[in-house]
Amino acid sequence: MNIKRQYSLPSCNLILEGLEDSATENVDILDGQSPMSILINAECNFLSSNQQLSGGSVFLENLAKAVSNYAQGFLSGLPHPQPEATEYPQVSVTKIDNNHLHRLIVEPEPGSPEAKTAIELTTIELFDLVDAIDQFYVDRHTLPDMSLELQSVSKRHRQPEQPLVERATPAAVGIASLALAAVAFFLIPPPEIREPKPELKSAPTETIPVKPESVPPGTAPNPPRNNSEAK
Amino acid sequence: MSQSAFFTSDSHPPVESKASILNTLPDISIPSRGCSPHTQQQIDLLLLALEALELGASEQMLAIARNLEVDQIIKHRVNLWRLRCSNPWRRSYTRDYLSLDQAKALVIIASYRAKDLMVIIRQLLLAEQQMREKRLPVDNHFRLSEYLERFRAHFRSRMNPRRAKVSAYIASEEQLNQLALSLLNKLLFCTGTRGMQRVWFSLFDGEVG
Repeated sequence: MNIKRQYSLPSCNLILEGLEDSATENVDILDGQSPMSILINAECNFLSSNQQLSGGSVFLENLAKAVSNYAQGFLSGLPHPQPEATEYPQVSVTKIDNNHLHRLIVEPEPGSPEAKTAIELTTIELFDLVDAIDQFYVDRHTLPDMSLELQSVSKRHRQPEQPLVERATPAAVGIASLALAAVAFFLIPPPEIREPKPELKSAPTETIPVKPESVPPGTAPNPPRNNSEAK
Repeated sequence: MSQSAFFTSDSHPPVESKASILNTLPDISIPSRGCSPHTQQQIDLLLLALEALELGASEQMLAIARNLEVDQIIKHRVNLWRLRCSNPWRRSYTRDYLSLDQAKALVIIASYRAKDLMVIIRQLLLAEQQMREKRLPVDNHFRLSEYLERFRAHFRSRMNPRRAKVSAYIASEEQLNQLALSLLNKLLFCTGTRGMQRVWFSLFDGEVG
C-alpha cells in the first residue's frame, strides 16, 4: 500500500512517498501502523521561492547528510567536511553573501538530461529544511533503517584565530631583513689587514728579576689583630 | 525476558527521572577539568541573547531549571550567575570550568527558553532579512532595534573591555549587531526537533580529540 508522509514547516515541505513493510513483526504495537520501508519518491518544496527538488532514496540520503553537515558548520563557524557521496545526484551546500544566504546545489549524474539545480536559501529556509529532515529521522514510522549521526569535528579542523598570512608576517619580515643584512654585509669589502711595520731600531730591554723580601722564619705573615678591637 | 526487563526499569523511577533530562544530550569526551573556555563563552552568550529578547529572562531560566528538575545543578540566582561567569570575556571571570552536567543544564535551559520564544525569534530574523533586502539599516525595525540595543547594553556592561576581542566588539556597533544576530540564528536552531542536540555538538566543534 502506498504511504505518503509530509513534514511541513512554514517555508519548506518534505514529502515522502513509499511502500509499507508488509511483515507483521514490524507493525508498531501501540498504534498498529506499519512503517514505510521502501521509498519511491522524495520531494522538497520551498514555498517562498516556489522551487522544488525531488529524487529517490540516494537523493534523500545525500540531501540529509549535506544539509545536516552544513548546518553544524554554520552553527559553530567551523565548516564540517562534506561527505564524499559516490552516487548521484550529489548534493552540496555552500555559503554565499557573507553567511546570510546558502546555496543548495543538486548535481545529477553526468550525461543525464537533467540540469544542475541551485537554490538560494535564507537562514530561516535552511533551518526549516534541517528541521524537516530531523522530523523525518525522528519519526520511526518512516524509513526506520536510515539514521543520521551528529558529531563534533575534531581539533584538526579548528581554524586559528589569526589567519595564516597574519601569523606568518612577523617571521617572514624577520627572515627577509636577516637576508638583506647578510647581502649588505657580503657587499661591504672586508677591511684590509695592515700588519704593523716592525720598528727598525728599538732599544733592547732587559728584565731584572726582583727578589721577594725574605720573611724571617717563625713569624706569621699577618700580624695578630689587636684584642682590644674585638672587644 | 522482556517482562523482566520491564520490571527492572520500573523499579527505580526517581533516579531515572532525575537524570533523564540531562540524558537527552550525549556525553562528550572532554578533559577531566571540564569544558573549554570557548564552550563556556558560547553558552553564556546564548543566555545573554535570551536576556536581550525578554525582560526578566534570568527568572524564567530559574523557573525552567525547577520545572526540568535541574535545580540540583542550578540552585539559585547567584549560582546561575557564577556558572555564567565561567565565560572568559566577563568582567567577573571566575576562571572556573563548567562540568559536563552544568554545561548540559545551561544548554537545556537555553533551548527550552528559545522554544518558548520561537515566534519572536522567527519574526526578528525575518525582519532582519527584509531590512537587508531593502538595503535599510537594521535599526529601522522597531522590535529588532530594541533587541540589538538591549544586547549591546548587556554586552558592554558585563564584558571586560581590557580583552582585545571584547574591546573590538565594543568599539564597533556594527560588529556587536552581527554577533547579536548570529546568536539569534543559533537560538532559532535551538527551537528545532533535534536543535538542542545540534547546538550542543556545535559547542564542542574543534574541541574534541
